[in-house]
Amino acid sequence: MKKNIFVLIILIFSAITGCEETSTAIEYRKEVVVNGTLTANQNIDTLRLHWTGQVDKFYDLDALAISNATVIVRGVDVNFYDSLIYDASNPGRYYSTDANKKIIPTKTYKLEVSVPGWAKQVTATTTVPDTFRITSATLNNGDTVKYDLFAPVHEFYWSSSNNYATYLPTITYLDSNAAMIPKAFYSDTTSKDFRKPEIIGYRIGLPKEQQNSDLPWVFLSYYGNIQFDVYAVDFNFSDYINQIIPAQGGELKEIRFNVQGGIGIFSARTKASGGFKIYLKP
Amino acid sequence: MKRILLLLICAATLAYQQEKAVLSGFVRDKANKESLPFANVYIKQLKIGAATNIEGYYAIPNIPEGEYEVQYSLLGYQPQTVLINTMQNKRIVQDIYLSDQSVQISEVVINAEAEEEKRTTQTGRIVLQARDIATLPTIGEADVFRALQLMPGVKATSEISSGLNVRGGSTDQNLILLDGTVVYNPSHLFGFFSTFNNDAIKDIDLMKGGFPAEYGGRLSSVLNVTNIDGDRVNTHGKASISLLSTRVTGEGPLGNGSWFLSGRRTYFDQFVAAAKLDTGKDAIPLYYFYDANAKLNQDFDENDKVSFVGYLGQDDLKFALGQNELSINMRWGNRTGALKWTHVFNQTLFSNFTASYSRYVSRTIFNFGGTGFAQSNSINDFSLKGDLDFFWTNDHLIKIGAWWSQYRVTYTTSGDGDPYEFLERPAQASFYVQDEWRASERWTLQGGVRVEYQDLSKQTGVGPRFNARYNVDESSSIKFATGLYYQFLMAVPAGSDNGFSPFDIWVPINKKMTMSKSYDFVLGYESRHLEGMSISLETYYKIFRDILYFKNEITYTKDVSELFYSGTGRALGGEIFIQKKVGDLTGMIGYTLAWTYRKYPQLNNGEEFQPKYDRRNDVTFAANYQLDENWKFGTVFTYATGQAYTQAVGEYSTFEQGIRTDRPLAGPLFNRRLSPYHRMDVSITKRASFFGLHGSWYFQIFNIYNRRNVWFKAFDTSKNPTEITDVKLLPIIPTFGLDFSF
Repeated sequence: MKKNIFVLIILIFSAITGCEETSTAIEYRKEVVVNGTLTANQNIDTLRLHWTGQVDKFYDLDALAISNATVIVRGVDVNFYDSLIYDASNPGRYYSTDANKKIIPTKTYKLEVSVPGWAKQVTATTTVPDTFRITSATLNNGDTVKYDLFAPVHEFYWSSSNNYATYLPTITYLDSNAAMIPKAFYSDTTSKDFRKPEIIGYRIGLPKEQQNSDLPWVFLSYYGNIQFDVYAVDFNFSDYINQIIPAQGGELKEIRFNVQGGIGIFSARTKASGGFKIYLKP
Repeated sequence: MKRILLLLICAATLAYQQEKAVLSGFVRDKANKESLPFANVYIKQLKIGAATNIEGYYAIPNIPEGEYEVQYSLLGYQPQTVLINTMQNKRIVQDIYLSDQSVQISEVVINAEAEEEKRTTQTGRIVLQARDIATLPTIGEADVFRALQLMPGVKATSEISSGLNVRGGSTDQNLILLDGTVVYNPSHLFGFFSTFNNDAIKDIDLMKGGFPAEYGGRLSSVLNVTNIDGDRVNTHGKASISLLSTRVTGEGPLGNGSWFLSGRRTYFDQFVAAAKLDTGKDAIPLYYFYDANAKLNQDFDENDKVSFVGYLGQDDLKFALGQNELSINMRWGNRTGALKWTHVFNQTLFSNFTASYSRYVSRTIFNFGGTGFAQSNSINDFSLKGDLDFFWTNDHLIKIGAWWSQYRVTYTTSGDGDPYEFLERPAQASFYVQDEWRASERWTLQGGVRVEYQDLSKQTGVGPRFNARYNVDESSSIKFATGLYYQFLMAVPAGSDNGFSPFDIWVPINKKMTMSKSYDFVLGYESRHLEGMSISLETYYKIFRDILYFKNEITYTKDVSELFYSGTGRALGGEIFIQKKVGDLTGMIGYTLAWTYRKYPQLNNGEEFQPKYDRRNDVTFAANYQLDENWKFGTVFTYATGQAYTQAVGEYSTFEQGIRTDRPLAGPLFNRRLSPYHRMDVSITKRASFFGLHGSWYFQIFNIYNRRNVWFKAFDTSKNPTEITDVKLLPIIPTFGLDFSF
């Protein structure tokens, strides 16, 4: 009887292990990827449309550009209509040709994208945050500051906006040939041929009500002229940013895209007036 | 509660004053006078009996006049028979001292098991003693949770996690009790080891489902860890040295009772510091953990015993790089303390009253240059508990109890912005009543109800419980259990279902949320027809309602309801558990076939998915072979279906504030499987003497054929094409250690 039980167990075990399947095939889900941010008091400079790429193939974003879409942005609570034009010199970019069609703070806009041969219509809406301003800072516009990792951090303050989800203090490096700070927090991760001027850093996760931020030395990566700004951003942007903390343990996380019929971000932002510039020297 | 207590005392007194006799007492170990829970007491002529409770107490009321043989038995002890005469004495108090039986005689074991099995209605129960855990090969040293993870129905998300996923439940759905006190984060070394030092443990009792009304507050399982009481006869100690840690244990008599103290500390930090590896460019973090268990017992008289039990454990990690450029300090640990008064009102009314305190704290301080960041979280639980065992008749054991807990939950972060502080002070109260009714020789029924209330959510849960047992014949039985369970406290995992982490935060539900609940159905069959072997088959079906899924997003909300999605789930499966406990060759085979599902409207397009800890097949084989008096060999082999993971189904780019980032696009949740998991560990133990001290040395090899099982898939979009890597688990690891007594 005992022997029979053990034979039975071995048979069951063999059956179990034989029936286990581990699929290694990589699936591909084709989607329209939207990247568009409306900036208050400006016309629509850039809205990008691409297809998703295959994860196991060479990823060439330019080759995935969607060039034949119809892209319309219309006002929901404001009289606004803009049909965006494709920029053949910049793959995936659509832009407004009418400089007078400015995005108005506190108003809601809807994006409509249709791509020939693609059944799904892509739509998204966003509400533009209200205007606000930087009220004070421990640095003055035009100051020259010596980089000192252990010196007290500087701070700046701003007034309150409306119709916003969060604030994003943002750093832009203005000198294209500025040297990298050797001990910078990002010095190991930032590409040496990073193309300046470009925004390098913004701070996420501020509580909605917080109206100040400091300038931690560790987050600065380059010497030279640096621009400090604050943006108020809409829910779509902050909701996306807040989700993309890498999940520990390696699992991919399901992201909630506030775009219907596609993925990506269609958002709005308002830059605080009173941004300031400093010169950072070694 | 006062009225109920008075009523019970009156009822007990009335029962006590009846003409028939009552036999009661404690069953203890003869060598050290420690109480022995779950021992069997049986009057053969009358075919009635009882089992000792967790304090080793038993009572058999309503014994008719006559002379009887009373048999006392417990697995691992020599049975004892005592003659009683109820014509001469109707209030018989008989304390029994059983002798340890190092050689397991088949017949004795079978009888002891059979007697115990005939009575218990509990399904899915696993009782392990410290010596069972110590014989299993492992990494570093014997560990309670690693031993449990080998049992059918119990899984961990990985071999480096001490979290327990029991029958489709998440790791925070287990009520973990150390001598009756709740332990909230029972892990060391980021979850690699449990907080329970095997040298300090008497036994562990895991109820995988269908647990009775005396337990509550969690949806999936109850794990009771009982510490050693301490030797009431001799003072002695033992010590163990392994590559990981040194453990020292002492115990002995104290007044009219005993004391017990055990401690351990790792010494990885000492090696690193001695080798000066903690400084410089490639500095290695200084890390250690320690824990200490203590217990004091005093018997004031035969009816009043007081005990104090305490636990203190801490992990400490320090890392410094350069001249104050980067430093990380982390410290986390548990502290528990409980004062217990055991009072025997009369022979048929036994009671336990406990005041306990449990605290878990985790603190992290990070400093980079002049910029600092600090985070801390804690849970404090002050509880009062009372439990009454009323041995009403031979057929009815009534249990009544109440439990009140006051919690204080905090979470704070402070960095370069405003500090964030979260503080909640919920209170929870519960009351239960249950009756175990031995309806006939074949039928034992247990019914009960537990009522739980939490003041923050102002919600009350009424949870009925029912267990039944039918003895098919002398050696086999069928069991059934069902119940409704509630949970008001949830762990916010730092990772994602990876088991315990020092950053896990326990949070209470608030009035915007609905308490989580589960309905549990268990059907099982047990057989001891084969000599020296027990076979258990169990199937279960579990329904979850209002269970929570942590969103894992940046948030500064103080509203707990915004941290979670609320959804449903179900789990079903079958388990086979074959144990051989006698002879030179002992061991077990466990097999689980299981399905676990979760459904949240906001996830996976609202469709059901199988979470990470869903494993279709799981087989474990463990064997120990005692070659002779000196040599012992052990092996464990485990095989499980690959863990579920979410596959990338594409790649996309976003331009956040103008910065392009490429990311993988997640496909349907957890719809793919990693390659199957399997591993074999072996151990050799030899008795030896060291400088005149008796002991043994052991050599163990973890993962002997160096199978590099997959922990998770990593998607690196900085490479083009995206690099998909299998991040591997542990390779072959040998361990060496010494145990000796003094």
